[in-house]
Amino acid sequence: MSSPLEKAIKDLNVMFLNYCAEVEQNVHLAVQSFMKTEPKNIQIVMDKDRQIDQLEIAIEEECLRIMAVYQPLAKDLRFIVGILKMNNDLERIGDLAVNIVKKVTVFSDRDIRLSEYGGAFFLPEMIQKSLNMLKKSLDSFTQQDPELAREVCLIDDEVDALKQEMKVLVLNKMKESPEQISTLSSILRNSYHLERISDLSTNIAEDVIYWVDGDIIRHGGFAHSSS
Amino acid sequence: MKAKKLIWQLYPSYLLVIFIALILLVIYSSSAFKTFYLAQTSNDLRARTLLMETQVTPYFKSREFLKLRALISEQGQKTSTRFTMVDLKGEVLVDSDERPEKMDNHAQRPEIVQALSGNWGMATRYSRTLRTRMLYVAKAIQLDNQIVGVMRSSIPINDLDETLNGLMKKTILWGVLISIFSAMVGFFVSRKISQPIQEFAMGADEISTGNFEFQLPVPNTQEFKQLADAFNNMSFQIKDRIQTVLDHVSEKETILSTMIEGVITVDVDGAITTMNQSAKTYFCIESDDVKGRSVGEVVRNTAIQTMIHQALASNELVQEDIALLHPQKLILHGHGMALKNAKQECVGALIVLHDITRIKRLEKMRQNFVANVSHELKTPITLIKGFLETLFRSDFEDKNETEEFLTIIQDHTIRLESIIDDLLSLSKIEQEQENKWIETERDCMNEVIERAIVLCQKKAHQKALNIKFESESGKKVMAKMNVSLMEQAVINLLDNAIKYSSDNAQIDVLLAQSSGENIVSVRDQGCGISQEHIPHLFERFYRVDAARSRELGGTGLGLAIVKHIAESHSGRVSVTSEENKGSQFSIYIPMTHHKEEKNV
Ligand SMILES: Nc1ncnc2c1ncn2[C@@H]1O[C@H](COP(=O)(O)OP(=O)(O)OP(=O)(O)O)[C@@H](O)[C@H]1O
Ligand SMILES: [Mg+2]
Repeated sequence: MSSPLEKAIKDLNVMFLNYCAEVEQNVHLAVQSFMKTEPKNIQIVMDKDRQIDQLEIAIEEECLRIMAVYQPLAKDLRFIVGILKMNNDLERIGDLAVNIVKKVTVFSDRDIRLSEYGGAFFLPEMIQKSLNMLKKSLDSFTQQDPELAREVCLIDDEVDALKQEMKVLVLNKMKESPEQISTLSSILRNSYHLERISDLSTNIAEDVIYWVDGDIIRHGGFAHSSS
Repeated sequence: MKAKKLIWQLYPSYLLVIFIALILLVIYSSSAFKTFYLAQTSNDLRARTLLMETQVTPYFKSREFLKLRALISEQGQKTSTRFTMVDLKGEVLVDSDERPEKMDNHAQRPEIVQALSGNWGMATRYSRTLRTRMLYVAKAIQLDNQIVGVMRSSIPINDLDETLNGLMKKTILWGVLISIFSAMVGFFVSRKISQPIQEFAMGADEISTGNFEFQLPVPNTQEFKQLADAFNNMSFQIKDRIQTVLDHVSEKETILSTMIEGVITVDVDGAITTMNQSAKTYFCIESDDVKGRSVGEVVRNTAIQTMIHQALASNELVQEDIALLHPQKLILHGHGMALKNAKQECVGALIVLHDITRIKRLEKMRQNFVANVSHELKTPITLIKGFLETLFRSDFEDKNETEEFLTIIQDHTIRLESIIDDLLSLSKIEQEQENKWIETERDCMNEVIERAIVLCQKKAHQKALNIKFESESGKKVMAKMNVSLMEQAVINLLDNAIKYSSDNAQIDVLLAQSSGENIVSVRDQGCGISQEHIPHLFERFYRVDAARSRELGGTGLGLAIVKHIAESHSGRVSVTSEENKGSQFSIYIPMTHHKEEKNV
């Protein structure tokens, strides 16, 4: 039979996996609603986010409870600390999903399709990359695979570069056609949100490395451990 | 405790038995030998004593002891016997080996005591005089029925001891030889017993490593033979059983892996026990070892998890539609059911997933279609109705206006007619396709294409477009087809190319052959189509830009018709396009298309 601590950690893991799934699905729904201009989904995404917030609180409480009751050591402790951090990052990702989906109104109000913006600059590429990062960071958690987590840290730079290029493009377009400023700015804002999502995914990946390997690679420490 | 070898269990007991037997033998035989020897010797001595008695009695009577001594010495020498004569007091009178003066009183000697009491006296003793072990026999000498002395004769019995010693040594020697021999025998015997046992052990090892082909050699000991037979039979049975089990398993696996439906089974804790290929494809899972991992870990989807929980908790079939947004867009219909064991306890859950994405899309298309048809028909009719009302109200006074209105009405009537024509031809092709029957004949494809070009030439001239036809092979291409349908398809493609090209552009029609197919392609340098529309182009009423297309007199049925024509020839259509550069639409018709093929 497993010890009460093991059982508690297992239950926490199940709870957290469920939370991950909720956040990831909500981000996808938000992004899709934005790209396809589906205003009916705004409310759904926002409601889901409220549930996600509840889950976050529940997970945090559970982590603290386990720490207080069982005083776990070594890897168990790292796992719980890792979950606490990831929990926080995921909650912010959830909030970003709401921010993204809110921009749908801009388009639906004007009855303009995103596609009219020449493929909306690099948005599809950014979406693909940052959602892939989110997926990979969560996969690295479920598979306890620090290698996958390190991959995530590497894609982050690509997304940053894309964001910069996009910014230049969108600003130029704004100068050309000032009447579209509100539409263009929501595209720009969403590219920022996507970039934040990829940053937070990187954080999650770093937490996974911390949990599995026990070394902290944040703030440039990664450069050493990856070489 | 270290296990001893069989030989070390057997050999000591062998030795013990041998030694006990030998010792008993020695003890018995030496005592028997001793008794026998003594009996023989004493009889012999008695005879000599009796012989001597008769000789000595006269000298005794006359008390001529010196003569007596000479006689005795002589006789003693001859028979290597020692003779002694003792008087009643025990004083030695004569002795064949020693001078009597030197000898002590013999009255207390047991043989003398016995002899004096009138019997034969007998004793074995160590003689201090001669320093050997001697056998003594004594008899009283009687003169006139009066005991006057004792006649004693004795011989050394050293021989006996030596013989007995020799016997002992030989026995020990033999004992050692026998124990060496028995060690060898024991070794062979134990080898013979243990060899089949070792073979059994080896056989059991083989079987435990999975070699069920292994058969034990049958030994010729009856007990071992039975055991070996039982063993061989057992391995055969196990092999048989395992084969059955493996067959079942591989059958199950084949069924699961060939199923189009995704199947996931979990145990009560939600850990995956099976997940077939389809299910993995749905969730884009690449890793092979999903067994034992929790569903939440492998499939990050809350709907699936909820479904599994419901299935585990309830006794009824759980059904639900699950819309996946990632890793790919799919709509799945899931059936969930708790798995029970023989005791009706829940041991897990089974989830079967059907991919209903296509069905859902078709459903949506049909809904759209009905809406579209009504919309497409409604618009011209409303317009016609409106203009007619205006006309009636104006009483046809303004001739110009009346004419203008009537022209509009005519335009829309034509439009209505063309929509209905398109719809009719579409449904006709569809029906024919459903009945798997279209009339085909062998004809020249080049001619069909050229006819289509001629028919479109007028429109092309209006926009100053140049239509160029080229056949890759340069030869005439014959194909089995329905000529009028084929012509219609090419016209539709040309019509689009003309409509969506800007003035003075070039349109290429290409006839090519590749991997058993005739390919008719129409390439333009027009506005092109953006990537997201391409999957829907061939749907009915689908138009990239509804307003522009309607302006150009399009209904959105043209490409749907092309697709149906291609399919009714067992062919297919494809499109490649780049925005603002142009598009290329192709129809692929198999070179030999049989009606049977279409039935498949
Ligand atoms: N060669 C082309 N270049 C650019 N766009 C095209 C081309 N062919 C078709 N399309 C796009 O595909 C859509 C569907 O074409 P389709 O032929 O089915 O309908 P249509 O041309 O609008 O009407 P019709 O039924 O009269 O042909 C068109 O609305 C047009 O936007
Ligand atoms: Mg057309």
